[in-house]
Amino acid sequence: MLCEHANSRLVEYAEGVLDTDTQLEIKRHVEDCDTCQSDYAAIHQWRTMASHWHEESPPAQPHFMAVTHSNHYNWWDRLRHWFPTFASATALVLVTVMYAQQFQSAGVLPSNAATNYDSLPKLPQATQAAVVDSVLKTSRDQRQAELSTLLKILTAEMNRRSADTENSLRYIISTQIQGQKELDLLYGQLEVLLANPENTALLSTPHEGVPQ
Amino acid sequence: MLATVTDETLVSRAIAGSDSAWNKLIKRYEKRVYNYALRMVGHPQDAFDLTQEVFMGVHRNLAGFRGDGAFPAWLFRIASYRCTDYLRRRRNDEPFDDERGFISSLPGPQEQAFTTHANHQISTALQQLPVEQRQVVELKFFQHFTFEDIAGQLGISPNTAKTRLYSALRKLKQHEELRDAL
Repeated sequence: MLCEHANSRLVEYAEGVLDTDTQLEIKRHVEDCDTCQSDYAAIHQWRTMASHWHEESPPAQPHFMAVTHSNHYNWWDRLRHWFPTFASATALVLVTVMYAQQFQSAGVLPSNAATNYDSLPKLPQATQAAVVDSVLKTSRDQRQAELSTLLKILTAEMNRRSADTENSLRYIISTQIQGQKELDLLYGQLEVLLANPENTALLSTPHEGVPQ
Repeated sequence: MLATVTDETLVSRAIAGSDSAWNKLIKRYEKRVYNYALRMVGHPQDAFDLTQEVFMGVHRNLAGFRGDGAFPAWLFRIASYRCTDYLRRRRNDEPFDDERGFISSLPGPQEQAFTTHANHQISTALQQLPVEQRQVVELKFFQHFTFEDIAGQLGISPNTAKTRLYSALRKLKQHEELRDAL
């Protein structure tokens, strides 16, 4: 180890705060180096001397003990110290109040919910069961009536559609029958016409007197 | 076993207005600060005045203690500043000789002011050093701060702190009072 490296760490070496390898390296160097030996001796002497210092007591009446906060610690210093805490607490309270007010104004939280709940009558258990049965029966009857109404509507609708379909078919059939009758009549008239020889001659010269 | 209240708790209570917490804080450190001042200035009455100045400074700046470091380091930063200021003021009051520089008009440490001979010799030896070197010796060997802590307290680099310590040691090696003290 170089002298300058060892010498600059002699205090830490004397305090024993270096790692084991470094302590050993410096120990070896100090044994061979007069300058470091001398410096180390001085350090060791001062450490020893400091440990021999006998603690002196201050003269009686330490006046600074009488210094009270009321005299020397003014309101500004206290405010400066407590302001961050005070500001945080105030902000928290304000946010909470605003949050609660927002819900109250929206009607989500009833303002007198607790009062209404407390004002409800206390019913015996049998009465409560009767109330429940009544509510269920009412609910059942109401649902049955609704279903009946719905069924009637559906039936009426089906009947209406069936009648419409039947009328349509009847109209189609009657129309076809009517068409067939007219066709038969035309064939009859045509046969009568063809039975007459004059009409046959007329039919054989289609280019004369028959419009194209 | 009762748990000791931490420095940070006492500081918080003192800031909140507790005189009891403030007095406990003083009780905890007054002897350490007084002995520091005594070794730095060499005179019990001056050391006492300086101790008062340090605690008044701590009191005024208590709200500025952020608790991001150890309280003793913060305390001794104020103590170092007060001490340097005190010694500078004292030096300005001393006469100046063109050949010899500043001549101390104040007497050296008086033996009867110390409870032991060793204390007197140590104080005498320390007074031989310039203030900057004396501070580093004090903070290193008596207060056991690291060079990084010392650098932070004195506003210098750790290497400068180390250089000042070695310069002080080489100067003190030649001092006869030191040998007597040992």
